[in-house]
Amino acid sequence: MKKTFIIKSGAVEKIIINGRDAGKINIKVGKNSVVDIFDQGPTLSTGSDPDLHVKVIAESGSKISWYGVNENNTSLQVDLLGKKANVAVNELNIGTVESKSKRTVLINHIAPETQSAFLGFALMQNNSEHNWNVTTTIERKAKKSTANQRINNLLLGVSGAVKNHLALIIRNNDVICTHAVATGHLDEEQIFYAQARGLTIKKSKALMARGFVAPIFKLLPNDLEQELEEKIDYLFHDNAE
Amino acid sequence: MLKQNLKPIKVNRARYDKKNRANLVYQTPVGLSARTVRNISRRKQEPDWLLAKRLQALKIFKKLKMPKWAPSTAALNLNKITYYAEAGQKEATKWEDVPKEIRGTFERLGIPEAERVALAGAGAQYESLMAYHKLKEEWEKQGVIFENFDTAVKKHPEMVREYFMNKCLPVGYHKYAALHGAVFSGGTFIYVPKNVKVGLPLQAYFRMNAEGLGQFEHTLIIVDEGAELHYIEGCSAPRYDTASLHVGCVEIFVKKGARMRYSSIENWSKNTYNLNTKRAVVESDGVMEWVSGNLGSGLTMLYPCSALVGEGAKTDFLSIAFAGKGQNQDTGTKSLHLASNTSSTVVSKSIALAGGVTTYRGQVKIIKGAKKSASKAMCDSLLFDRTSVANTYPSIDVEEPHADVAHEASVGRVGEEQLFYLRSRGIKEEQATQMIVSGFIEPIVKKLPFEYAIELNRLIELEMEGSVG
Repeated sequence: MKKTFIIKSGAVEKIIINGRDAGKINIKVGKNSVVDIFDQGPTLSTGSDPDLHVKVIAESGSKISWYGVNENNTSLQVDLLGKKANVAVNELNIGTVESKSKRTVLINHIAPETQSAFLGFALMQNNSEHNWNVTTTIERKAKKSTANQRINNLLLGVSGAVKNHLALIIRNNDVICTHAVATGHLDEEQIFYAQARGLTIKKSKALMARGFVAPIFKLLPNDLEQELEEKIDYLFHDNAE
Repeated sequence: MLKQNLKPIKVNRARYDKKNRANLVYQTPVGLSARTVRNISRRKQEPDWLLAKRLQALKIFKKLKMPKWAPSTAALNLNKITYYAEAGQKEATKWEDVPKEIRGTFERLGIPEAERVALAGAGAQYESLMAYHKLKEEWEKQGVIFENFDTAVKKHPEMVREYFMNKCLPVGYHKYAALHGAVFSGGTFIYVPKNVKVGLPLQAYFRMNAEGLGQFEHTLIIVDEGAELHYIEGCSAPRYDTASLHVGCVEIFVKKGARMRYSSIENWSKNTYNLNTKRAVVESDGVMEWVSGNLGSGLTMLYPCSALVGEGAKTDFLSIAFAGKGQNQDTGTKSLHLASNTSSTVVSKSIALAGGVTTYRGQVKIIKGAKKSASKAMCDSLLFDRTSVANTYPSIDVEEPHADVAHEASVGRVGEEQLFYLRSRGIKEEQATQMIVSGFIEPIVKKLPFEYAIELNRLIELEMEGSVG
């Protein structure tokens, strides 16, 4: 399947990509337009695992927000072609027991004064595995650009693996670039505290997990938030541990 | 007053670049073959097992390919390298016994003076063989062994056979490790007995003089249980128009509760390909510290590795890479957490100017079962102009849920506000930039002994001369 979306200059649009549709999607974003793209993917009940390739071309002054909350092997490429184009890529992966997933993100800063921010969160239940491959390039002409990459992973069970492969390739000195990765586990003292206040161990863990992903939840629309909260609770259902 | 104190230090580059006449008494024919390998082994009167290992390494070298991610070495013609050369010196334990011309080289580099003032012992290699090796009596009496590697093969064969390119850095580790295994010559062997704490650093200096030469020294260090050692390596070569090759290997064994710091300042000339491999195996509660300054060479590929095999083992990496015109500094670190409660920290700083390329490749692996292990990495790059490039490629694999890993990196340029502040105090732009750079690399420089910290700062100032404005 191949789809193309063309967003006119100055438009405000919302695109929902259904993760059950494998294939290639091209999105051209016109000057000064604002676009929210939701890669929502299949629900837990479908469990299908297609590959999805999305390419976004951003013209000058455009502002793109990407919300990836599916369990697919998605690859996303964003070319910031126009001056002052801006992209925020927000990814949340909720890895259920024995799930395997992969995110490949490539952001190319081609024009000056472009901005990108990658924020990735992964919650990993037992025997789940997640791969982050995030590359940001700043080309010679992209002076005064800003690029940030941030990944936070929380390993919930007694097993599970997360692989973080990041790359920053910088060919202009008048830029600000940072990246950061953190991988950790649930704090036993915090769980104990919650238990001491009458929560069961599973509810305590779910509370901690929700707290962990709160920074990305704040960025999501309300209707998605409820669905994702249910997914997080599902991580701690009776058969999960 | 401030201006007076900040007079630029004039560094004489000639002391690194001055060439001696190449008075070689023996050299293998140009190019690599089994015959070359046999000739090297014969000249050294090596035991059969070592020749067999060399030949096995040569076979592996021919089979292995360069990894796809590696920078290009296409301009390096391995058939034009001389793999072994003797300048006729015999190893001495007194500087007076070292041939005059070779002694003059090391005097210009300040090695005898450093030995008198700040070292427990020193070694100096010229071309493929050691010219000088001396350990101060105090440490000799405590059982410390500090020998040139060829001597160690003869005097301590069992220890060398047990540890050499075997448990830590096998000959098949990668293509250039295999090349090293085939043609290695010279280097250092150190053994520090249990609970002996060597209070002053030991140093070895490696000098390539002849044109088109390869240097392949091997460093093998065993720090026994509860012992401590600081070892420093320095290297340089005069500049030629043809390519030189440096493929050294360092193997370090840090036993239970031992502590080791390995510092190196690599200042090869820009026609040199510096393809080094350094690896340490750290047992329980052992501490391994790597302090590196990579300034010279046209292309450096260097990724020191600590394998934390014992519970509570710890490793720290501190590194500076400086890439000027025509230089590619491809450096990084590897931390392998193979036991519980292990920890690693990385502080990496790189500076690129005048079209130089710096790349940081950091690998952290925490295997399943390495519970409560922690790793933290910080790497910062400073870019001076639009023709330079800075890359960072961290790779972090965590298989153990009860582990904590953090990585941070930033890339920026010399701050205009900082420059403006310093210039408003009457400091010239070039000096102000050098001051900012000195501040940038300060966390690493302060880990070096005073004399070496000054040397590193001066070398960076030298490389930056004329780059501002």
